[in-house]
Amino acid sequence: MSFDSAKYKNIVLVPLARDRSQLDVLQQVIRDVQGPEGHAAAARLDLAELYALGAGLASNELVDHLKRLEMTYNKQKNLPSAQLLKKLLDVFGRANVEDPAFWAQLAASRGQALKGRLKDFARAVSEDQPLKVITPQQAMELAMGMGLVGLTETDLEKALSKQGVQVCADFTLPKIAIPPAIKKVLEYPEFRTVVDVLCRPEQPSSFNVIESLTVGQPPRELGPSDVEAAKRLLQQQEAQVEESARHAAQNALGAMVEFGTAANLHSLVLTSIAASAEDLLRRGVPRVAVRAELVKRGVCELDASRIVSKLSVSTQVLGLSDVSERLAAGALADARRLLDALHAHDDEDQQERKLVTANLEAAEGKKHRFLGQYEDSLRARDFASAASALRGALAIDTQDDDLRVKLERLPPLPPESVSLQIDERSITASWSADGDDSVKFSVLRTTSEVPANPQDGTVLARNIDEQHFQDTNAPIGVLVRYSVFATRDGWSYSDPTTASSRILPRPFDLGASASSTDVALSWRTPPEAAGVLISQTAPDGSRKEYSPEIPGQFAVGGLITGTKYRFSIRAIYLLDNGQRFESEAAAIDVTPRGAIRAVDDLEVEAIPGGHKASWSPVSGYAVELWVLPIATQVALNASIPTSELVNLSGRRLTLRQGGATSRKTAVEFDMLADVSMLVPVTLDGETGLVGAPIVVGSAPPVRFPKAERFGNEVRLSWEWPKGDYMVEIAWGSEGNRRTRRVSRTSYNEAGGVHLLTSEVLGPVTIATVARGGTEEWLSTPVAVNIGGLAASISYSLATKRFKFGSKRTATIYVESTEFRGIVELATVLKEAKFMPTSLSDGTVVDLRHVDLSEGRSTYQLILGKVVAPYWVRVFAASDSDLRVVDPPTSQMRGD
Amino acid sequence: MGIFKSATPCPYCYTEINPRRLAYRCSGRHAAGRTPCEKKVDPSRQKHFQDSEAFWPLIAPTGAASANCQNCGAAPGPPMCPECHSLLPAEYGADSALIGLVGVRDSGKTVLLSQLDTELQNAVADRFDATIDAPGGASGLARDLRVNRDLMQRHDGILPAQTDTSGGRKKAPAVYSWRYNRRGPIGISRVASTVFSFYDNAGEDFATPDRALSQIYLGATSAVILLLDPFGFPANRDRAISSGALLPDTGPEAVLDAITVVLRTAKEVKRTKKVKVPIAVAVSKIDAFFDQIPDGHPLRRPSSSRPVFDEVESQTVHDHVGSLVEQWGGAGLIRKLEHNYTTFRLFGVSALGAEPDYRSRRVNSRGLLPHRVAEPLLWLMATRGFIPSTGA
Repeated sequence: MSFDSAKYKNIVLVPLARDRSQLDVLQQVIRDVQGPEGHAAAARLDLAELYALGAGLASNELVDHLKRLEMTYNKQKNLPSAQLLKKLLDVFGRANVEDPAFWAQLAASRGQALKGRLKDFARAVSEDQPLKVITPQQAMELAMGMGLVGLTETDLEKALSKQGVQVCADFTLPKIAIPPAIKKVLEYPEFRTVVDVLCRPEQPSSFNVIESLTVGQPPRELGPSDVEAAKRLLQQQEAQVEESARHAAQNALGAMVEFGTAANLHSLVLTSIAASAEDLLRRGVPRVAVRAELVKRGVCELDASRIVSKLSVSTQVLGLSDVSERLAAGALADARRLLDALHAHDDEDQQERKLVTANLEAAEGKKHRFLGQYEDSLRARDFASAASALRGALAIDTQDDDLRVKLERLPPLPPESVSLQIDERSITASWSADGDDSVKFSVLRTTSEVPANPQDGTVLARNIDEQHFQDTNAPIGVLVRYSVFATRDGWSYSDPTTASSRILPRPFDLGASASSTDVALSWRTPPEAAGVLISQTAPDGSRKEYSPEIPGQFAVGGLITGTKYRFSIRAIYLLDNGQRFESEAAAIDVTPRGAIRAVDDLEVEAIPGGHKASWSPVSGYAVELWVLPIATQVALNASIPTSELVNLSGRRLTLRQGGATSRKTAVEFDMLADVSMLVPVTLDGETGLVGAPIVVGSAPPVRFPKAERFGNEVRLSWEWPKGDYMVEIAWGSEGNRRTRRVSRTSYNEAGGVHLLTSEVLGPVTIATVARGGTEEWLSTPVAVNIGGLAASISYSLATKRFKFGSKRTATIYVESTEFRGIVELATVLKEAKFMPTSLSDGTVVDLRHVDLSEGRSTYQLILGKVVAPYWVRVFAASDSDLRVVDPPTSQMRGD
Repeated sequence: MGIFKSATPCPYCYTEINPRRLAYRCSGRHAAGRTPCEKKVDPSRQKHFQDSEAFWPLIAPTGAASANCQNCGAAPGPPMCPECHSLLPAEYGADSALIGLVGVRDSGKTVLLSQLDTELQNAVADRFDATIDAPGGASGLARDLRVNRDLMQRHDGILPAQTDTSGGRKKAPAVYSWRYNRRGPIGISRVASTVFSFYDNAGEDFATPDRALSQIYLGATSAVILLLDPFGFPANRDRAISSGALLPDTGPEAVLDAITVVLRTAKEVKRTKKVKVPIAVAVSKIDAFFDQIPDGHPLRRPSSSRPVFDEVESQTVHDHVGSLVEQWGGAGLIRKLEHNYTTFRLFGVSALGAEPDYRSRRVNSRGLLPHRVAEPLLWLMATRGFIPSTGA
């Protein structure tokens, strides 16, 4: 069996490295082996597993195995387990570890060693556990702690049992509230436990209470029927029980009826007995004494031991430190109760009691002061301070529900920062609150002072959830105040938060029309407005003001054509008290100019490095030149947004002044990279009027042209320019030039352009063709290098077998239409599945000069004895430029 | 041997069905006085293709071509597969072929199929004066292939994304019908028609025999096109690295082993026998090696435009590709083919025709320049006797 280093690492080294207790055991063994105990100390380890020792390893196999182990340990230097195991091997000594008998002896003594250690373990546990009860988990943990590994629960249980310690499963104590009637009945000496109440007048000497609630022998489970029976018996024998005890028992039985089922009754009894035991433990009674007390009350000894053992893990006696803890946790009342319950005793630290008492009193004093502040603030209607005082008190005594109720009954805080927003004739009040969802709001409008209560004014909204309100009937021109009250219950309101404003609506429906030098304005105002004031601002900042005589209309003349003017109109409001107010301005920009028209006489001429364009000017309007793809359809006189021109892949040209005259606008621009449509656009704001386009530019050439020979074809391919173009291919000599045009679609379908080699004579060129209407433009032709092809000779061959024997001959017919002269040819024979690929890939069986001065020649070879399959192939001699064209392979192959 | 064959695979669900016992739906044109049928979701369509469309009900019993709908008396609709209820092309019959396309990851299966889809309907249809259609081409793999080609043909064309592994699930195939006039031995022309379908799988599906066995359609194939990535041969690794092409995870022989195991298992081929399913072994991306192949070499010759399959030319190409594969270190692959298959043929093809930018997965800026992509399929068609061949 081979040693798998990776597997050994995963199964042994890594888990061992992670187990601290096992590593401790290993370290202890290494120490013990070096001590008087010697090698026998290692018997407690499962060495076969730790060193992956298979059964019956021969000496040489063991040596090899140890060598691999050592290599693994050296590799895993970061694992402490590897280093310890290596150390143990060293401690054993090389001579020992390489001897199979040594390992066999250790394995044999392992069982005995384990027994001894197990006994020691059980004895120690017995001495440590006076209750003589332990759970399986505890037993296992203790065993691990003592370095006992690989043992089962049963092994431990047997060993502990011999020492009088019982291993019992853990159990859960039910968490139910014990009714006061049950607690009360146990105060009477007639009743040791709840079971006595149930079984009266009997007092069971031993009952089980953990797994089930059973009494007597054979065990009988107590249930609801026993409760009913006890009640009846109590009534029948009332004279036999002292009156108050009888009443308590009746009440307790009545409370037990509520528990309904045997399981619930069992939980109640177990809880009650556990509570009694817990009480004793808290009082500091020793665990053995508590168990004795439970046994005295009738609980069987094993259950009593288990209950005490379970509780002693978690029960502790309360002391002054618990008072401090409760104080820190904000349980002021609890802390006080506990302090009062803890009676001073002699060995107590008096200083500590004083300190704890002082801290508690300080906290109580602080809470008292906060409550005083609360009362004062409440009287002064300072609800914010009252709430703050209550929150302070709650921070000290978090469990005082009365404080919480008082806080909830306080009116909410007033809304924060009421803001007003005017929108024409309406006004919207909005505010913020503290995020309490139960708070609602009431909105009031007044014209003078702040309202005293939520009814003191025009109530606009009552108890709304929203934190905004729109008033659409606010009086115009008057200063109005908006007040917002907050409430939780609709009775108790916060103080109001207010804001005031005046509504002065601006003129609306503002319109304008312009001619070349005049502008006419129109507008509307609210009926409350007394008039308007118009302000005219020119681009240079100069202002003129007008007071129109006719309401809603005004015209102004003498303006400069093509100049943008801003007209601002304010409404004027007059109040009853004679005050005059102006509204915000409504504004409009107007440019006096003539009728817009499209440019219909665009002319473009070529100039060095670019183009010059000219057209008749459009009075009062700017004209831009846009470049669009040649196939774009735009209608003359169409009104089109400039953004739409961009969507059509349009580009606005940057123009330079080009010597304009009074009759012609002239501009210059750079040369265009391809053939494009030049469109004049007369601008009117964000839209433009499309003029008559013209086509300008040049066609872009194709890129990366390539010619490749495929048999009797030449395949031409290239990178197409972006856009809708055709390509013209031209070939042939000067006098016999031929052309072919291909579209992108036909190019794609055919996978390039294929020309017959025979027709491609002379240079081949490729040019892009751009079309605009009926016109065409050709790019500068790009020449493609097809390259010359060496003259070829072809051959065919026939192999023949001798009539007798396995010898074969080959007859080779050579011909050429392109070459005349003498050529040196080599014939290669290859006895293999695959044909020879070169002169050296096989045996050269013939090398000769062949005369092709007449275009053909024939010769015969004797191939000799040949093993099939075999190949015969003819190659030109290495220094020849001729191409040798092979025949079909069926002629070259022999089977 | 079609006349003895009673069952042939459905081109959609690959279940062996009897072409003379097909299923029919109610046409929806109810007889006078009868209550019309209602369209309902077809559980079979749902099961096979997750198709939740509503369909007319089936006419019982299955296979009765002349029976009217028992419910509304309507005449039957067109024939369909009794298993998956897919409409079968009129050309479907016992000689219909199911062709599996297999190859390693990145060998170019999807690109080849996309290009083949176009070649079939243009160059091949022109060459044989045939009508080659993809019924249902607006959906499934046929649609995907067209979308792929459109994307590749753009100015900045991109290669199709890696095909998802099927994980044993059924994938919709691309189904084609081929109809043309075939001249008989005494000069009389008769209409010949067939249906064939292709499946496109992720290369990972053939990485191991175990995974390949989960490709349930392979068991029903009547022919296989095995696409080999030349960069997978030992001698071409440096070239692959220098050009930025991905080195295949699986070698050519591993794929052949996987498909051989599947075919031997599915066709129950004895250890001492060879697999009879014809296998066309196409070396893809051959354009990347044109610098090793001189002008005038048979591998550089364009496909013939004659309406016959030239067996001599094909055999010549086969021998030259074999020689090339041997030079690349693939002699073992050829030996495996010889020892396991009665009929196989080697091809050199290129779907793109010009080296793409492997890193950005962009098609060469000169566009798609396919080379001999239809040859493997035409050989399979000639082997089945569907198209004429010469020189055999």
